Amino acid sequence: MRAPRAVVVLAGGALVATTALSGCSTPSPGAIPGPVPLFTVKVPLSATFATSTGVVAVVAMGTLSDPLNTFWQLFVRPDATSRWTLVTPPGVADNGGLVASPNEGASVLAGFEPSQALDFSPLALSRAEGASWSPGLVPGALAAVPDAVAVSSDGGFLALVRADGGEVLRSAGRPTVWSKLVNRSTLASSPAGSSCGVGPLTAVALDATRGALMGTTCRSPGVVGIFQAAGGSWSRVGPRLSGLAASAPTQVLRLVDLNGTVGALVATGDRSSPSLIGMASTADGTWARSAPLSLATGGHIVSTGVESGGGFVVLASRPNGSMLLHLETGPGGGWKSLPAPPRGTATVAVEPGGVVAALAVATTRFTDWRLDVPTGTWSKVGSITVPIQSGSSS
Amino acid sequence: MPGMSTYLQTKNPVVVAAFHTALLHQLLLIGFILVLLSIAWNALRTVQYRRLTGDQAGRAAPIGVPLPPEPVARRALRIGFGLFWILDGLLQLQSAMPLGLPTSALEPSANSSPAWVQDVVHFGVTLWTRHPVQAATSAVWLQLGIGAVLLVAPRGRWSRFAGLAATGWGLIVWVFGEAFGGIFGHGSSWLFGAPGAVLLYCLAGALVALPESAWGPRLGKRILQATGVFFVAMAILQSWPGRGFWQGSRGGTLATMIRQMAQTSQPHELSSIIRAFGRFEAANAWEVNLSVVLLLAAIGLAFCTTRPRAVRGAMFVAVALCVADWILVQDLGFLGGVGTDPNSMLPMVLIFVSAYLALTGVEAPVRVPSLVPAAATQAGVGSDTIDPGAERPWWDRVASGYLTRVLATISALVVVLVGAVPMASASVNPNADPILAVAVDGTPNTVDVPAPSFDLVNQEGRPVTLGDLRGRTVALTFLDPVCTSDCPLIAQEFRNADSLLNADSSRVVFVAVVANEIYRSTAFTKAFDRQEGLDHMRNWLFLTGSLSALKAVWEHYGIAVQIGPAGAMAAHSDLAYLIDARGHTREVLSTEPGNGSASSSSFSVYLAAALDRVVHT
Repeated sequence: MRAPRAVVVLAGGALVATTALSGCSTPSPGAIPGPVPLFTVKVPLSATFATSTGVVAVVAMGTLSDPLNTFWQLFVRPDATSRWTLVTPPGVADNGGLVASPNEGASVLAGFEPSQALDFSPLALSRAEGASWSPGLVPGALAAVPDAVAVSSDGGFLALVRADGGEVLRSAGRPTVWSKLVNRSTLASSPAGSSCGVGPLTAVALDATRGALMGTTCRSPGVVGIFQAAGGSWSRVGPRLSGLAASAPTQVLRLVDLNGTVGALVATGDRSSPSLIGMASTADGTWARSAPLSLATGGHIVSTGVESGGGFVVLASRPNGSMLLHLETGPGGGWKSLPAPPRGTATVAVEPGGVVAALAVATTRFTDWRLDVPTGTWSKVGSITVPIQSGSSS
Repeated sequence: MPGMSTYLQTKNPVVVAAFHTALLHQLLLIGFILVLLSIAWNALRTVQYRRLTGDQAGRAAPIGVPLPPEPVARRALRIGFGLFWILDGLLQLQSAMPLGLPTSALEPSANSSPAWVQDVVHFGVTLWTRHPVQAATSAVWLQLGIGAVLLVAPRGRWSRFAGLAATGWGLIVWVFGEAFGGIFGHGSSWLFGAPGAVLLYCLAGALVALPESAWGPRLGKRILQATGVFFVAMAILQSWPGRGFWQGSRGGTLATMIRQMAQTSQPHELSSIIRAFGRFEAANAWEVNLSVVLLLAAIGLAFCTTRPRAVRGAMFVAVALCVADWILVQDLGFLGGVGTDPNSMLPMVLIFVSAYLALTGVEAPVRVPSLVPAAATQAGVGSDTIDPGAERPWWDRVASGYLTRVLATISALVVVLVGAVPMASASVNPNADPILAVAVDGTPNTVDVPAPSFDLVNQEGRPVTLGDLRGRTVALTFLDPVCTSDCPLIAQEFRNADSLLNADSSRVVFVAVVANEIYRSTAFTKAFDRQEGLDHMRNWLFLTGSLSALKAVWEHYGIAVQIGPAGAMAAHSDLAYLIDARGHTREVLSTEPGNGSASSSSFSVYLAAALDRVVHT
């Protein structure tokens, strides 16, 4: 027996209306929002790190459209010399990318991202700001994030590798022997991890007194995934965000330890138009947070930099390719927009005294520009021709 | 040396020489079998002659029952496509075929097709790339053989078999060589050869394989109707908007195609004609396409009527259109060094002309039948005549002309087999032809001098000297444990060579010495072994030592190691030394991996063969 057509139409309409209304309903006050879908913000390896002794910069050079002829370079600017110097560690093809972590004791740990047939990551450790290097390795592929390695002033090392959504390895002494500290699934199943809804691990930092720190993506709205190793387990030390950010997932983009102060750059919102929040730990165990910095819809991050006080500088691009430069005005402060950097700028550094430097590349040419804040103009400071050997990685 | 990879050029002299040598050897084999068959033919004729002269009275006269002559339409199709297969076989003789066909013809044919078509074609490309000489020579003989059988076996089972063989091989070529004739790609058009010339070869083969009784006006009608529907469908496709055929100078599909064809290596006069037409087409694309669409549709509709008069008129127009397209658009199809057939237009003409002949029932002139004994017919060597009254064995009574034809058919089948057997063998052989390694790395340098000693440590830090390895053959090379390109490939070649040695594996030890001044500790050799799966290989040693010890070994073995600046990989010589059980270097090989997995796999076979020589001398 067939139902009359009008009945079918009415029933269908009621079903559609019910479905539509349920999608528009407002949660009752006081309801605890559940986990929301994970989002990921791409953080390029181009980055700078400032310590109290100098600045380190990682940039891609060569033929950037050809991965086999893109060679990553490491530059340092020791405060003592005030000049940028090429210190890329030799002996390994670095087409896959380079990550670096300086510490206050003039040590720099550099890690090579795997490329082509290489599936583990060689390391290079310098105790003299890149003047000489000794080799090391991680028995796995380093995660492709700027803070995939960390070195502490007491000689410990951390490495974040890609296995199983992220795994943290620890080494004491020589960076060739590593032990597993934690991986994503272990952390996710712990009480601390479940409060965050742990997604991929995104950064590591190491402090001589605090120990190992780790940044993650959190599905739980408003929860910042910064974890600290404590007595064989992990505790979440990242704060819970308020305001609009309280209802969105988060991702730790950068995590650094600067002489006991932990700095973190956190993304929140959604993938198409994320907001960035700079954070710095304070002496009383709380976090100073910046106001959110909204990135242009469809834009992306080009580079991130850390200044020696724990603040961040972010170079972003609009969908039309134009560059935007934002400087966090100290931990817990706001964001200040700076004049657009010169053409070809790959990364931005904050030098001693708060001087902002734009580091531009054009194939084999590295140029250092400095911002004159009162006039808002960039002046060229110097340039270096990098002896890139095209074709040397195949 | 990393950063200086050697790439195989299309006309690499080593591969071309091997191709020619293989063809010559196979030709000699065919010649030898032909000589044997000629001797057999002569012996049979001698027996017949002796019987004839010794026993005139007892020889029963052969009684033949004549069969109707072969239908003209079938004969035209058979002979026409026999000649096409011969031409295609001759085109396969071009020197660029072994290395050029995959990159210049097979892969480009699939470029505009969906991923699954590219995957299918990739299978064929891999097979050809790994065995370029075998594949190229097989293609020559298979096509010459199929053509020859079609020509010399006019009737009976072998003739129909030739039709089936043509269809089978044609389908293989259509799928793997023509990417299904490009019918799944963008810009497919009758003008460019859709649905693929070889599909027409398959169709012709299938028609030849039909029983002769099927050849008549009805078959002609069916073929013409199908051709008519095809032409109308091609007219619709040609008229479809948004495919660039209505567009002229700026990116017009036809103009672009003609421009590309004009750049093919060919006589100047021909390219001038094509360029001129290209300019005309670019300026009048809309009118040209409209003409093509209308002509295709009119021809198709006329064919569909199957009325002889309408078909005859349309046929002349179609022949003119096909020939014009063959010259002006398809550029004769076979120029440029890796052209494998004259493209689709001439085969298409042959098919619809044959269909017209079948439709109109044109008969062949009646000829005097040859006489074939029944036994021979039952054996399947022929069926156009029978001898119901035979009392003597068939070899005693078989007619000279018939015998000649049978032997010619067997000879042609031998040619097919000479092509098919190596192709079948190549398709099941996972290891690439070692000729590729020779082409990339040259022939090994043969010596007999004491190998320089070394004193290094293995992956576990235990000392190893060359003296410790005395009594076993040593394959020694130099690897950078943090190398991203060549060294992992070379290590895999060594590993594969070990597996190819079988029982001799226990008599060989594979040794690598670190070739990186910085990344040289056992931590790196172990990591490299794990990465390459060498940590479970019993006879594998990755040796290292102090920088001074390593430098001494590098120097003694003539290995240059350089650390480059600015993110460059450490560069080093790619060499392998084969040291015999006495500690003497016997062969020095370049280990440059070349371009791609085929040459790497090829080196494994090459290395295993070289080790086999050293082990057994």
